[in-house]
Amino acid sequence: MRTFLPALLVFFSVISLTAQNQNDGVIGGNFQVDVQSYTPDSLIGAQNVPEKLRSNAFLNLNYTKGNFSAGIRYESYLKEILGFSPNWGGKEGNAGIGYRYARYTNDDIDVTIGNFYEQFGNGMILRTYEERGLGLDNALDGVRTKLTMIKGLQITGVFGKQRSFFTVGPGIVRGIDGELLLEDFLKNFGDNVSILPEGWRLRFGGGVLSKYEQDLDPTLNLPENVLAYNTRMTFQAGGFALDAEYAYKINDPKTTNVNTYNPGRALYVNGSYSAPGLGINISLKSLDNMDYRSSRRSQLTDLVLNYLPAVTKQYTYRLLTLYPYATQPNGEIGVQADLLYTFPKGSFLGGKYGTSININYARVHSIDSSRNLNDSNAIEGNLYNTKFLQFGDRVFFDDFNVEIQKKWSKDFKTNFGFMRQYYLKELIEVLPGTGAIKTDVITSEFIYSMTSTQTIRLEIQHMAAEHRKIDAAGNDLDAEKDANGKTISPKLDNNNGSWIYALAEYTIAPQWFISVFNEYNYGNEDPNRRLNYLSGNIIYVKDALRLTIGYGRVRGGILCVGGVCRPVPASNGFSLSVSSTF
Amino acid sequence: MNSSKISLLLCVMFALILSSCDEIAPPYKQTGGVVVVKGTQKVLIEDFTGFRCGNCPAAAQIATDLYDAYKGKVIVLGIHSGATFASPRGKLYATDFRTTVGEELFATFLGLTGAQPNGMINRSGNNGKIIAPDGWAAQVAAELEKEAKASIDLTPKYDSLTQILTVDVQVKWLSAGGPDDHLAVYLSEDSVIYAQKDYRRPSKGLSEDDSNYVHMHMLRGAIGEFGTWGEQVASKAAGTSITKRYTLSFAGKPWRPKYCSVVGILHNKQEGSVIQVNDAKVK
Repeated sequence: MRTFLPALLVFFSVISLTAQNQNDGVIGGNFQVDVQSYTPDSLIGAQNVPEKLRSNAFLNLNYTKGNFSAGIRYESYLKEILGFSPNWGGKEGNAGIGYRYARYTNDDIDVTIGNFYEQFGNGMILRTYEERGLGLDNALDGVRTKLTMIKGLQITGVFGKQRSFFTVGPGIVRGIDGELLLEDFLKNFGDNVSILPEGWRLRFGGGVLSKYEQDLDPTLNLPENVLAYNTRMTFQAGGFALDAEYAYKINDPKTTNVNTYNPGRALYVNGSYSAPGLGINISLKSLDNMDYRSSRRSQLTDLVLNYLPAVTKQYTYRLLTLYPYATQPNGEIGVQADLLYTFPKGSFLGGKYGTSININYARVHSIDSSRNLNDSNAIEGNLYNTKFLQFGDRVFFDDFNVEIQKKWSKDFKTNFGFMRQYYLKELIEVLPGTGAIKTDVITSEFIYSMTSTQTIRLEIQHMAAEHRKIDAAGNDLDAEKDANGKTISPKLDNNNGSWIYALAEYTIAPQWFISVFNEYNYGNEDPNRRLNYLSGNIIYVKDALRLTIGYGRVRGGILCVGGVCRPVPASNGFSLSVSSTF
Repeated sequence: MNSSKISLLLCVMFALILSSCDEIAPPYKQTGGVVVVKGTQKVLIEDFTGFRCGNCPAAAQIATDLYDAYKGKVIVLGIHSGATFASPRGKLYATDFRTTVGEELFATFLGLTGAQPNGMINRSGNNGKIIAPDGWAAQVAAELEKEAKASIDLTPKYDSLTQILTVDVQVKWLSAGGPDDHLAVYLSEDSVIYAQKDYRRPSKGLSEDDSNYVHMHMLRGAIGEFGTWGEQVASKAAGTSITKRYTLSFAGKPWRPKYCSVVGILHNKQEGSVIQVNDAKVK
């Protein structure tokens, strides 16, 4: 790998000198530089950062000529912005080429060598991806071949090692996946061969993945080859769609499942119906012991092989993001229903410009299992009993949300929302004793367009939070208070209690976006922490260039993308971000 | 290639991957016996711990299991460190077991994100030097596979009259030493009986505070004047050796010579990695 990198660099510099006309291929890419300054702020719990200024930077360069393409990504973490894994920057900062590939594609075959991202089905046995917001990049480094020589059937084979920061993990990953699109496949046997009515589509798929990792443990008999497979189907007829996937993994004792030898299982079913003005989506997910990694001893988001789809709504309003749900790969069962309805324009509720309503409900439980997640020593003989697809007693998360969007006139729009949530903090954030949090949040947003290019947007949100003590059986109890009325149980963190939030944003399209917002933790148990977190941003956009300058006091918390989460520490300082594509 | 050949190829590949699957039948735990390791490389487990850290005894048990499994090859240091778990609190946790050396190691290697229990295995590893306890076994095994680049001989002498410990340390380089080689010598003490939080106890109906916990391999400090990182012993040729003498006074200290060991660590200070380690009983 070390010798490969300089060779690629030379290759690119040669190409960039010669790539003046189309015959020589095309170079494209993008870059992003984020800089953050840190001011010590003991009130909000911001750490003292000795460097005072930190930066992450990325540059993607891609070269394409005919059927051939190649690319690199240069990354620097000098040092990593707080909240990213300290393994990115290491002790003294890190920079280098974290991703490089060469690829050849024609109608029949698609071969990639070097780094690649791949997903089998919904990703429950394999999904490698980059999520920069989370500092997650689990790309494979090796060979991938996709064959589409038979119409309607695509076969993907992968062989590789997985990226872990600036190195690769110890495991070797091998996999094969097939996907069959029935309608297209039948065309191999004649143009008029069909078994499904017009407009119906049926797709089947299945994949197998195995990872090898040497057993060096003198105390346990560990499986060196851990295999997982999935089967899946997607059915579509008119506005109706059904997507189902089942995955299975053999015994895979490791850090994150406390060396349990149980097999892993996962089922995901998603049904949806859409018609003009109406969208309904219902999903079910059940998981047991499905944390799958190319190294047994990796933790957090490092060297994760699979992705377990989230069945909870992903919010964007600030206060709704304070307690986001993180998927529990060791065991959970959840359901979600989502309804979107638009009242027709001109109707009583629709008014002149239309009204839409979105209702979402999600609930996640433990699975019915003899395993006590709070007591890692309770796993007797490294096995436990479990009833897959049966709801356990513990509620991890419950979330009801309704949002109404209405356009009142050509220039004025509002969006009102209400959310009621139950969040089992001690389990989701692995912080024993912190109990559960019940919240009610009201959100409101007002958008007024003054002219065709100038817009003012206001947001006001309120969160009422109640902290509950949870007993060993998962029962919800009243908080315990001492003689002075101070809560002693559950344990409270810096951000406890109720919040109010306000934002004002002024846009001069398409170039300027100016916003100021404040979060006020007025209900904090500790009067000294009833703090204002004031932030401001100025964004300038010109063609592909985007420049953001901000200043703010940022509360600590959790950031999640699709149920995959990382902690974000509190900070105070300036931020600067520049990005562009070319 | 026609489609029947392709199908055949795919079937073969599918079968190959399916066969790469190891289902393990009980018993899952390996029992008995000492793992015999051929080379002379030894391994240092530095366990960052604290008496108010309830998950730390389980980690100490892992270190002990490895110490037993690789008899004579593994050296353990229990480093009571950090403000969160090792600072004194109340009557039960009144004694401060933290040391200047331990705090310096903690600050250097665990830094801002100092969660405990956590440890280092010869201060090496693929993803940073800090390794969670259940990763120790694999890293210890990997380190033991390495070919030793040096050997360390320790000859401690304790004079009970003057209460002075003298240690003669001989380092012999088996392959050429680097410009940044340092020799650090520490004192550790076994069987210190003192309180420890232990989250394994409530499930047995006991209080989580164990007032008679036996602390093993407790780091007590550096021997000699060179502190945490030790003395520079730069660029020695293969086959050469040096001998150094270090002293430490036990006067006024609670340390019991009978339970104490000296630990010699040859390390690359810049990289922070341990080259070789050895120990010897004081008495």
